[in-house]
Amino acid sequence: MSATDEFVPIADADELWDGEMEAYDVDGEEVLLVKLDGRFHAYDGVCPHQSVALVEGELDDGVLTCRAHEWQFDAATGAGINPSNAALRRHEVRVTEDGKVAVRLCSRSPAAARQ
Amino acid sequence: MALFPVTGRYIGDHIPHLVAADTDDTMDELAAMVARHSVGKKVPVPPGGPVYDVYIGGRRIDPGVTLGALGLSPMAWVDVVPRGAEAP
Amino acid sequence: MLLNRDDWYETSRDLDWTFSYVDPNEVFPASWSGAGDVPADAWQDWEEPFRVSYRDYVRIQREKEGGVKAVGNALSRAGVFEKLDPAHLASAHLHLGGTCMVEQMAITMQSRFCRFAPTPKWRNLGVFGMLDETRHAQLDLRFAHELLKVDPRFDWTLKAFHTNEWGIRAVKAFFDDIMLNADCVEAALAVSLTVEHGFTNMQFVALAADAMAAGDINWSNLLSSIQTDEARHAQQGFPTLAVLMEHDPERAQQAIDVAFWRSTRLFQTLTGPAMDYYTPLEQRKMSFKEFMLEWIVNHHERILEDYGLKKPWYWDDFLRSLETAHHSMHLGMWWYRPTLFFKPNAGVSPAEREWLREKYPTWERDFGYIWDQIIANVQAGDVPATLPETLPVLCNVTHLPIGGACAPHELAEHKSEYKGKVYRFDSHISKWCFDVDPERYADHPTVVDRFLAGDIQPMDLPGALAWMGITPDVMGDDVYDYAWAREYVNA
Repeated sequence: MSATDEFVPIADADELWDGEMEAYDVDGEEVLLVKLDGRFHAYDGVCPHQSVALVEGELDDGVLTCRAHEWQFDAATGAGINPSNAALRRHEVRVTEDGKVAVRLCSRSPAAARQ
Repeated sequence: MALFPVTGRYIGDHIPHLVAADTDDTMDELAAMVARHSVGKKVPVPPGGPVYDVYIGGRRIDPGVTLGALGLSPMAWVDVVPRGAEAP
Repeated sequence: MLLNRDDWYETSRDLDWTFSYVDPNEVFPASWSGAGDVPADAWQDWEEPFRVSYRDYVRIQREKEGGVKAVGNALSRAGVFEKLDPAHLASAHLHLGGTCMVEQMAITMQSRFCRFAPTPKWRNLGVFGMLDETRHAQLDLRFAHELLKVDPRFDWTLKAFHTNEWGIRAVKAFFDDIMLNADCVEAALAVSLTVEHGFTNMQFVALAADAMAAGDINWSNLLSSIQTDEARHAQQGFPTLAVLMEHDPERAQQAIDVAFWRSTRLFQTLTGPAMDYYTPLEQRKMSFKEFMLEWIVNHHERILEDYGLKKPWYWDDFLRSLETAHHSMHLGMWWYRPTLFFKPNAGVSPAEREWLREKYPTWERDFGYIWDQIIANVQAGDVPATLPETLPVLCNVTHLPIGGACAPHELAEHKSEYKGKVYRFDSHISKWCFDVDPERYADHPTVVDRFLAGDIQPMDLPGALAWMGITPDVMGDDVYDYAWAREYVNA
């Protein structure tokens, strides 16, 4: 981990069971971490519909359902299932050699910096 | 002599009230009727005692004039302030 | 080969027929469809993003019903209700009395979408909306009915809209207008987009959290369950707005600007006092102003931007009113407590006042001296001096008291003349609502107009209370019997 690549460690890799999700604060932003088939995915923590915290929703068979209005997302890609024209904002994730899950906010990625 | 309702606002109260006045009421009498709903209830009693001025359309009305002489429409907006206080 | 869900959905939803024996304008008269000058084929672009098949709908709703019933049954055995804070109960009475019959009115609105909306896609969605709203009205009634045995005020869940209680008449005036009397396009913009998506969906989520914090798990669960239905039918506004922005953007702008202000005024009447005065201090998470800024304002700004609308011309004045208007409404409601069907909390004990000062830097200057006078009278044993002896004056647009939209020092006369008659308003914004469409408001007399016309007899406060349907068993009074005023040390 270097300070320059903007990846922030947020959890131990064995903190989540497969099929679980948890919310973390990264620089004041709520990030949702999902573990599916041994892989981690990180998204904006609030629903794009009306900003309700997604961690309060349900994760079932790889489908994430917001508790407030039942919007559904594919938890492996963030793509909207219903409605299909919505999507979760995705953050980059990597697991470090010492077993930490680290996240780089999409607003901090090199692609964002170039814009 | 006829019933003549006005929208009476005592300066400092947060709402004006429906005040059932009469065309024969003088401004002093009208002022007392408006103040009755506010003074000592929602605003403090003014230091000079219960004597008031009536303002209509930003103009002070002579205390002895009767409501009927002013040619107002029913529910006209009437402001009441302690006598000598600055215009609302 | 079986169709996949989306293809099946579209085939089924878009089933329509071409009229050959009748004029389509007679089948879908513009007065109900609201299509106006929008060309017929423009509605082909109308598309609802959140989709559900009828079979899935029935399955999911059935599961939800089971959930609500299970929680309700468990809690009614636990006697949870009897332990709730009485000030929290005022929020429940106010919410149920003020909204249950609005859900009932929404059934009619959604039924109108089913029949008259200008595209089969929208008519299909109206079927689900109609079923959703039926469920919401019935859930509220069932919940309230269970509680009748502990508190007769829950009767007002059903009764309120069949009385002339002044606050209910204000709510009714708005929803009669935008739900029952509006064409489909206006109803979608004013109700689905502005009221539901813009205001109540956010508020129900917050209210459910507050109810949970207050230990009212059953009600919290009910509110959350109702909320899950909203994604489907509250979305009717967005595709309608998208079509209007192509073909009649000015109409969209005006309908939304009017509905946003009128919704704000109702929120300043119902939600503001509930959040900043009725919710017990230790359970408050954010002030009404913070809630409005974080949720309502942010979301509305985003919608305006996404669809290319301008901010309402009154935006700065609206923001300013968030500092003052609901405090004035609360003070007025508490003062006129015999005209309410629930017991309001004054909410100005020394500790609560400290919280108000912190959240609203001008509160003390704007309203502190009025409460000080009230406190002095209570301490002197003169409660009658804290009760009304006449009516306020009401706004001809919002039907709310004049003075209830600002601080006392900002109070000014706003009026318009129309067809020889003078109309009065609580703000220059409400005056604008009237001036752009006077016919809509001119024939809807306020309680005060009725009083002056002699409809209310005898012409005094008891006569007005009887006319409003207020009976001794529900008549409002200070919920803590003025204990908060006695906490102040005599000066």
